[in-house]
Parts: sequence; C-alpha cells; structure tokens
Amino acid sequence: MKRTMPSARLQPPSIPQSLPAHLDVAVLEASGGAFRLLGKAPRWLRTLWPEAVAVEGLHPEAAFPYLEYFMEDARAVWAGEEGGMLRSDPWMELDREGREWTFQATAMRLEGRCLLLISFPMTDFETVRRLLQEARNQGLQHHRLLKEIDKREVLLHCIIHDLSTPLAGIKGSLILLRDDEQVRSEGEGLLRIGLNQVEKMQRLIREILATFSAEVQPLLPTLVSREAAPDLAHALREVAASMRPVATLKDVRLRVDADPNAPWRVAAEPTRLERVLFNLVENALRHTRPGTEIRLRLEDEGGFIRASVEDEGEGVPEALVPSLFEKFTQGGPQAGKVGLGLYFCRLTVEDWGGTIGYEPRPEGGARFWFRLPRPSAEARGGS
Amino acid sequence: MMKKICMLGASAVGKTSLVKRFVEGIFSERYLTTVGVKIDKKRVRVGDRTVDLVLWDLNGEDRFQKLSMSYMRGAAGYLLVVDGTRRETLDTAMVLHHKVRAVLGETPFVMVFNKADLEEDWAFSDEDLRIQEARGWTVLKTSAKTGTGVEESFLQLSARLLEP
Repeated sequence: MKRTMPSARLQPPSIPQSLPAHLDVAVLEASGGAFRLLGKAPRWLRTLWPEAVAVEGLHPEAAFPYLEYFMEDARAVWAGEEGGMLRSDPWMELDREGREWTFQATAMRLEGRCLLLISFPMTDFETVRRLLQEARNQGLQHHRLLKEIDKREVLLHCIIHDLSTPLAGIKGSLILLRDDEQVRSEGEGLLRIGLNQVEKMQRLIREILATFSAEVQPLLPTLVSREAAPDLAHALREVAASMRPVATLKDVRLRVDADPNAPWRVAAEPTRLERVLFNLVENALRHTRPGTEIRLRLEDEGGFIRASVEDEGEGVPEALVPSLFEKFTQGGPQAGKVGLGLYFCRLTVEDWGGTIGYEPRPEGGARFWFRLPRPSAEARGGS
Repeated sequence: MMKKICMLGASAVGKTSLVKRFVEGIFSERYLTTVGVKIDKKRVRVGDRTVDLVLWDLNGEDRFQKLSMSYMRGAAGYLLVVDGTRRETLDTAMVLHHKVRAVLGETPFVMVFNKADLEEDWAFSDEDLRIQEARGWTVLKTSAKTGTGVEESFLQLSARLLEP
C-alpha cells in the first residue's frame, strides 16, 4: 500500500518559524504604515529592541534611526517590481551597555509582500574595516613623516648655510694671508694646514648634502646655464595654478601680472624657485582676508627681475619686520609654521645672487619681493 | 523634540572621539576608523527646552572612502570637523561644506578645529580661525582628549537648531 504525507498535500510548504532566529535575521513585513515581525525574533533583536516581540504595529526606524534614512529608498523598492531588492551600507548601533553592533538592512518585494530584513553585514565588514584602518593609519604615518622630513630638510639648509658662509670667509682670509709676502715660511706651513682643513670641511658639507638631500645642493654657490635657467613667469603661473583651489575656498583671487611676451628667465634652480614662490604665496594666503586679491607681479629691472607677492591683509607688525627673514620668526604665537619658510626663501635667493625683502603697501597689506639676476646672456644692462 | 546632527570632516580628524567625549565623557587614544555610519543619541537642554540629538557619525572622506551625501537627508545641522594639526583637512571640510550646502541649502553648522591639546603640532594661526569667523560662522577649538570646547560646540549647534 502506498503511504502518503497528508499534511504535505493539504498545506502549502512553509518556512520554519524559527529559521530567522537561527540565521540571526529579523524579518519584518510592512503592513498598513507599520511593520510586523515574521517568525521568531533573533536574540540580538530581543536585546536591542524588546518591544519588537511584544508589540504589533512596529516602527523599526524608532529603534534604529539609520532605517529612517534607508526607508526612503526602500519604499521605492516596495512600490516597484516583484523581486526588487536593495541592500543598505553597514551601520553601527550601541546597545544600552555601550556594546557596538553592526547591521545591514535589506528591502525586498517578494510575492507582492514588502519585506525588511535586518541582519549582520553580508559583506566581510571586519575585513573592510581592517583594511581601511590599516590604509588610514599608514596615511597618517606618512603625513607625520613628511612633516618631519620637511622640518629636518629646512633645518639642514639652515645649518649648512650657517656653516658654509663663515667657512667661505675663513678660506678667503687664509688665501689672502698665504699670498702675503710677509708671512714667514713656518707661517705658510700653518696656513696650508688651515686651508686643507677648510677644504676638507667644505667637502664634508658637500658629502652631507649629497647623502641627505640631492635637492639642497643648489644652496651651495650655483652656476646656472642659460639653457637651464627657469622662466620666472612660468613658475609664477604654475604656483598660482596649484594654489588656486585653496585660494578659491578662502574666497581669495590670485592674479598674475607679467607680460607674456617678455623674457623672464632667471639664474636659479627651478624646483627651489617654485618652492620660494610657493612659500611667499602661501604666506600671503594665510594672512590675507576673504574677498581680497593676491597679486603676483614681475618687473624688468635690467640685469635683474623683481618678483612681488602683494596681499590685502593686515601687513606685518612693525616690530616683526627686522627679523622677518630670520629663522624661527612667526607671524604670531600660533602662526602655523615653525618659522623657517621666509628664512629658507632668503637663503635660497641670496645663494643665487639675489635679494629679498618686505615692504608695507601704501594701500594696506603686505608686499614681499625678491630680485634675481638674469642668466648672463639675457642681461639687458645692469650688473 | 528629535534632531539629526551629522559629523562631517576628513578621516581621522576626531569625529568619533568628539561624539564619544560628548555622549560618554570618555576619550581613547586608540584610533578606530569609522566605516559607514555610527549612530548615537544624547538628550540636551537648551534653555527651557529639551532636545534629543541623534548623532550621525559619518565615515571620513579621503582617497579610500567618499562620503555619500544621501546620509545628510533629514539632518537639522552638522558639525564640520577640522584636524588642527593637518592644514589639508580644512580644505576637505570646505569641500564637504559646499557639497552639503548644495544638497540641503543653508543648514545650521558649527566648525570645530579639533586636537587643540596638540599645541606642538598645531598648524593654524588665530588669524586662520578669524578668517572663518569673518564669514559669520561659529568656529571653536576643541579637544576630544581634554574635553575643551566639546560640550560647548554641540550645545551651540543645538541652540542654532532651535532658532526660529
């Protein structure tokens, strides 16, 4: 005799009521502007939202504020086609004991029914978080290192400059003494030792520079070939272009004023030149007011070119002016820099045979300027 | 009265720490990045009124994660957080502010320069802060570590939310 399963014939197959609890999923169905829980609630739901198992007409967005945001998009899914589905980003909630829970919601339209599922994230949330954590930690570390390197590099410039300048003076004096006919032969021997030692120290400085920073070499006396001489107007426009987004956000206009047809080549090293300009423009941006203009101007002074950066801020307090280009001078107790930017500009410009200075604008604001020689073949008069 | 407040800013500026300090009164040196959204609540009194703040601590914006502006839906205000030791986080904050304004229109907010305890590494001058204030913005220095300015920032923002 053939045996049959009567209940299977009489009732449609259904899902066990405890399935959602076993899967740790809360299944809710939209019904008349509210929701009702389907099947047995998972344990976490009873902890975080005890009302869900006791009350009809549930409003999950009251318990999980994130859902208020998600529901707007979910409604479009429920009003849409059969089988439509939308999954939220993961979000975090804290329970009453301060424990952190991460969830993900899914809105579905199945067999004409509007379902909302709340579960733990489907994606490997912890892996994503760990990767992001690692990437951001490295980003922060990278930022700290760059800041440290920058500080050390400028300090290195300062130290090298402070050593090189007097050394050059000592060497010059020793050479003059050596050439003096009145120096006795024992003295000549001592002078030779002195000169050897000075040259040894200069070699050492060059080695230090070569080891620690190829970039700082231009700080030593540099001979710039005419072909390699950078165009100051081009450098000015490059710096202005790179600073323009920040200036715009600060509501400051950057204006470059240089005749595009005139020759603006200067005896300088391109990277350092841009850094000098960058420092001056950044300085102006820090001290000017919103709604104003920063003017970057070039002027022909015969054998020299004069570049100026003018702002419409409050200008430099008189007491600060004499030490403005010295190291560790800041515009205020928390001016945001270690006070080496302008010092670096002075060292660099002077090493190229130029001069740098500051003057208040008669109309108000500050004007920082520097003069650099043209490469010799381009000089049009002047020295 | 319930009000949604969003925490906005670059990554690692201290948004989560500010919320933690404000809600739980604690600070942890351990940096744990936020992915997506973290929601917290705090009841505050503003004058004779009580406001239930729902704090949406959003993931920071950087090259790894962009902030979805749809999270701002229904926000009554936001705290724009800058890391006082990293100048570039001001640019991120300004970009986010402009994006939010494009989505929500004029919405109350308070700008905070966080990590005020890190004086050695502080990257902004008082003039920098004055430039922001000159726009008519409320600008405060905060430290989630010491608690300086934290309560004040949230309360000032709450008060702005209740302005007619």
